[in-house]
Amino acid sequence: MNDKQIVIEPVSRVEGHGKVTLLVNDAGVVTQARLHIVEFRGFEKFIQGRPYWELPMVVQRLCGICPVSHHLAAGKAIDMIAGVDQLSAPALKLRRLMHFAQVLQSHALHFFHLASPDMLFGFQSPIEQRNIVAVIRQYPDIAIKGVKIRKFGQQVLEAISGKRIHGMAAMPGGMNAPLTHDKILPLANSVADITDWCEQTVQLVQTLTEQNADFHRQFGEITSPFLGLTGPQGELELYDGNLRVMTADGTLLQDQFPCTRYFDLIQEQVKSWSYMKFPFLIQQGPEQGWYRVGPLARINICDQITTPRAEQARQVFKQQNGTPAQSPLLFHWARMIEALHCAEAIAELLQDADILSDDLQRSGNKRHEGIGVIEAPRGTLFHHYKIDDEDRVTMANLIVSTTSNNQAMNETIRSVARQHLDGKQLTPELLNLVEVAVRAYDPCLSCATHAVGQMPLQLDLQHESGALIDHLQRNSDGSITHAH
Amino acid sequence: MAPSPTRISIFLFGNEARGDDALGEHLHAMLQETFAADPAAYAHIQLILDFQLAPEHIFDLKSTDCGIFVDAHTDADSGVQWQRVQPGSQLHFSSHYLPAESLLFLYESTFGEPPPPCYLLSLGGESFELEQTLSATAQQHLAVAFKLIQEKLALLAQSPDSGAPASRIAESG
Repeated sequence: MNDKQIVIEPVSRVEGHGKVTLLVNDAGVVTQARLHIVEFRGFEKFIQGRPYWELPMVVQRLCGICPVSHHLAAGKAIDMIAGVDQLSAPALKLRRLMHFAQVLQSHALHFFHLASPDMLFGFQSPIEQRNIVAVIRQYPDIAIKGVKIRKFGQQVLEAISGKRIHGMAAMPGGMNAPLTHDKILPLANSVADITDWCEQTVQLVQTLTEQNADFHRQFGEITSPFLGLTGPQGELELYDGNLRVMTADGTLLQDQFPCTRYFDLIQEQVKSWSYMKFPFLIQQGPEQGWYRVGPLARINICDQITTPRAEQARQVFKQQNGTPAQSPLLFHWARMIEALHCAEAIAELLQDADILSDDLQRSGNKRHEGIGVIEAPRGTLFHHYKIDDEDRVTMANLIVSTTSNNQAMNETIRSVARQHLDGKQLTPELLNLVEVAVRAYDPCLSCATHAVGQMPLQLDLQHESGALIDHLQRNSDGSITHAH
Repeated sequence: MAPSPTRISIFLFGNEARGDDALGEHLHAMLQETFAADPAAYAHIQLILDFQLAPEHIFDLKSTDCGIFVDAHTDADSGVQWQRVQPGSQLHFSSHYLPAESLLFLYESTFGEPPPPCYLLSLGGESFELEQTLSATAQQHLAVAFKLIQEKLALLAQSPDSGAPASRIAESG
């Protein structure tokens, strides 16, 4: 059967150079979707040969939006190498505080600037209306709260690490420095507002989802298992814990699976057409074992949230959407429940005297291998290193959350395209719906290269012979060029 | 009494691990060293180093009279360019990409007032792969840009509108 190719390149409002290829058969049915991503290929080689204690600093350069997640995952790995299995309580609290701030600011950025235009104006409203410009004009209060929440998260990070970027925080076996009263005071003064705004946003997302319930349920419909960390009581856990896997029907496939044995749980498959690998659950095999990570996965798999307002929101979410909730658009709702949890947790930690303590370092007997697993904003993040006797990195394996969601994004795009592609012509509406699907996962595609002169958006329809059938391009001024 | 110098915020961004993407960082280091040698002379200038522009940078811009954005450009042949930046009519935005025009639009929309005069200093680079050295072309552009920005800072200290006109200073090697 002859397959035609429909190419979307790159994906707008998703970072980096993404490209989507839709394979359709002669009947116009989408048989496969391929999201091509220029990932951080080469970074694992890039860090080989470096002293292990540099890792938390070096890996921050993987991503300009979530450098702290990489910093802390590497920090956990080098704790293990340093022979430290248990941080001091003050060091652990400072790391948690950092991580909550990181997740909060990342979620705020995504929701208010990427997701809210779709939700506020409707996914099928005119494209020119459905952007952050329109949000600012019609809902200025929402827009500025989004910026302020992100700013708050950044301020917490700067207070702990000393600088906006390249700050020193996690070190082998602990943290570099405590917080001080003068740094805490402005944060403590504003955290109540931040928490209230997050809660209001959860309610807003709930309302918007319920107003368009059928669309939300059906859009990009797929079913998959979910993977993430949970704490000892099955609670939502972003910094620590062990791995839990929930199957598509809600059964726990694995629980409290040790992070240090992640390679017994998942493997990565390579495909010729993609730089990104395809992780899968070993138990279920490469074809059936793909899974999802991130906010929806975490809210699905956890039994409780330790902060009261987020827990209440989780219960509402569960009542409305079941367990596990499968619709990709529910990532947005789950994301804001997590943002609320982070704000609440930050408020608690800012009141904790331990974050002023100098008891920040522990030591142990050095090992030659370290594994750090953390829940980054976009999902479970694995850092795995081996070092030689000279303390230099000989092996690095990083599985980022976007990689874990790779197959799920492809399947979601395929589902959307099957619903909205007639097999003959590309349309701006289809392009936008593909973006909506990808955006739900908030993939990180570029990892901190951002220079001026990028990001046109084009959509190509090609026959398998390579002949261009249709071409669609969104220009930098937002206009569309359509060449048949 | 002499008029107060223009308060200037310089936003420099890039990734040191991505070859010529680090041009902003390198210029930051050079300016920091210059300013440290004579802090009083440069007290009106704030340096802001970040991986990339993000929405919260509107708050850094709020308290200044003039903004300068410094970034690498993917077109090495563009040389070193200085140009005035105006608020865009659209906010092109991804969680990993925010152009200066969009930031100014966000400023205007958020605060309900026009942003201060702003300029973009872009330095052409030719390699953005994982490496920690600048290409020869980028090094050449860095030297040109360092000289240019000092000249512009002297002008802008007198008036935030005096940074124009646009100019293209260097061609690629």
